[in-house]
Amino acid sequence: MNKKIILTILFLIILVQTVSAEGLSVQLKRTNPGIAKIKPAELIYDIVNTDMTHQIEGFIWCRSPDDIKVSSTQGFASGSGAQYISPKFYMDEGPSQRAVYLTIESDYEGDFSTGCTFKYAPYKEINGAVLYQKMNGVYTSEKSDDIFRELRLDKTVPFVSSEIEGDIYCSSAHCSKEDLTINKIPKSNALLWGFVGILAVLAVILLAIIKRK
Amino acid sequence: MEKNFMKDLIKLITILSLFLFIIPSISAYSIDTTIEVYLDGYTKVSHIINIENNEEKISLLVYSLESLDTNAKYDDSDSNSLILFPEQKKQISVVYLTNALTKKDEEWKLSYQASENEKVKVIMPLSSRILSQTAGYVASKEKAGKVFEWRGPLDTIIEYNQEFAKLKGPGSILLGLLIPSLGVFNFMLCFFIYRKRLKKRDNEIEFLEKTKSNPVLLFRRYYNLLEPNDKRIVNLVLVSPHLRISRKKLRKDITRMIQDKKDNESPENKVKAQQASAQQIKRGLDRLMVKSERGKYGLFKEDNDVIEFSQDAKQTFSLDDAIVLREIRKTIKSKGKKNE
Repeated sequence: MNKKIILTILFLIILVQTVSAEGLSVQLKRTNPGIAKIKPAELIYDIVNTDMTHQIEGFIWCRSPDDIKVSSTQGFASGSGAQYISPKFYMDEGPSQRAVYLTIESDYEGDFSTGCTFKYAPYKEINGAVLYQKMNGVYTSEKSDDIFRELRLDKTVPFVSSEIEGDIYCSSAHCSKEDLTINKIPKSNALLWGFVGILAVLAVILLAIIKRK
Repeated sequence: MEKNFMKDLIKLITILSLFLFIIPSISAYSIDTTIEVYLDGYTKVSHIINIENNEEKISLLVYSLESLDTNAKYDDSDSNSLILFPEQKKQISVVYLTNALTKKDEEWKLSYQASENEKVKVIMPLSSRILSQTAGYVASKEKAGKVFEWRGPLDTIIEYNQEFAKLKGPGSILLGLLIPSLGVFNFMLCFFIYRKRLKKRDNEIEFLEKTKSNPVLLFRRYYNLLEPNDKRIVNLVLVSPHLRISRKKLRKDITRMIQDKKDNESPENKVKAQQASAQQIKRGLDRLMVKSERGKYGLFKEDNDVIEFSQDAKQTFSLDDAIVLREIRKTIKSKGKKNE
C-alpha cells in the first residue's frame, strides 16, 4: 500500500515537473526585411521561461535549405553559410526572458527560410551539481542528446533586390515579400528640369532657324 | 610654524581636490552605442561595452527595453538601469528594442542621453528627412541608412520626418507635362525645317533639271539678279568648267572685287576697280588654265556680249557650275545686306 502511494506521489511529481518544464515559449517579435547584398535581414524572437523551478541551457542551431548566411547576436560560434550554431547561453528560472536576434544575409531577393531551432535543456543546480531534466522528467547529471528539447524558430525572411533605393519594413511581425512596404527615396527633379531646359533652348534655336529662313 | 602648516594644508587640499576631480572622469569602460531607427518609431539599441579594468558589475542606462538579448538584472534603486556582470570579459554586448527614444508630435523626434565615455552612432532610415540635429556630429550616408556619429556625453536629439516617395507631386506633374510637350514641339519644328529644306532642294533640283538642257535659262535667271559689274564675274564663272578646282579662291576674289566696287563709288575709281578686279580674276583663271587645256573663259565689257557668251556657255555648263553660281549669288546678297 505504502509502495503504491509513494509511486503515485512520485508519478505526480514527475508529471508536474514535465508540465512546468514546458513553460518555455517563443514569440516572433519583429521581422526586419533585408536588401540583397546590402543590408542583412533580422528576425527577433522573445524566449520566455515561465518554469519557476528550472534554469535553461540552450543554443541556436540553424540549417537553412536556402542560399543564405545566418548569425545571431548571441555570438559567432561555429558553422558557415547556411549552417550556424550559437554559443551556449543560459536563462534564469522563470519568469525570465531573453531575446534572440537572428541576422540573415543573402545575395538574392526572395523569401528565405532560416531553418533555425532553439535547442534547450532545463536544469537545476542542487548542492553545486547540475541536474538536467530529460524529456521523461527524470534527472541526469550526464549531458546527452535526450536532454535537449527543440523549439522551432523557422520563419521566412524577405529580401528585396539591391536595386531598390529606400527603406523597407514589415508592418507585422510575420512577413513575406508580398507584405513589404517600400519607401522609395524621393529623387531630385534637378536632372529632369535640366532636360526641360535643354529642350527649351533647342526649341528657341529651331524657331530662330525657321525665322531666318 | 603655523604659517607653514597652513601652507601644507592648502597644498594637500588642492592635490586631493584635483585627485577627486580627475578620478570620476577616468571611467573603467567605454561604450559604443548604435541606435538604428525603424520607420515605425521603434529603435534597436546596441551597446558594445569595452571593459578596461576588471569590473564586477556595470550599470547601464536603458529606456523601456523590450527583447533584451542578454542576462541582466534591473537596478533596485533605479528602474531605468540594468546591472550587468561582465565576469572578467573584456567586451560585452547588449541589444534591445525600445520605442521610448522616439516621439511623434507634428514631426518625429529622437532623443538619447549619452553617458561618459560613450560614442553614439544613429542610423536613420534612408527615406527620412532630417530637420535638425545636435551639433558636433559626423555624417555619412550608407546603403543601410543615413548615419550620424557623436562622441558623447551629449543630449543627442534628431528631429526628422518620414519622406515618402511622391510620385505625383505638383513639380512632377508639371515635368510630366512639359517634357513630352517640348519634345513634340521640337519634333514638329525639326520636321518643319526638314520639309522646308526638302522642298527647297526639290525646287532647286527641278529647276536645274529644267535648265540642264537650256543653261541660258539658268544664266539669265541669275544674271538678272546681278548688277552689271557682277555680271562679268558671273560670265567668268560660267565659261570655266574647271572652276570647282579652285572654287574657294575664286569666291574670295569675287568677294574682294565686290568690296572694292562698294568702296569706290566714284566713276573713276569704279573703272579702276573694275580693271583691277578683272586683272585679278584673269590671273586666277590663267592659273586654272595651266591645270586644264580644256578651260575656256571670257571677259565681257558690254551686256550684248553676255548673250553671245551665253551661247558659248552651252558647251561648258554643268551642275557644279550652277552651284558655284548659287554661292556667288549668296555672297553678293549677303554683302548687299551688310552694306544696307
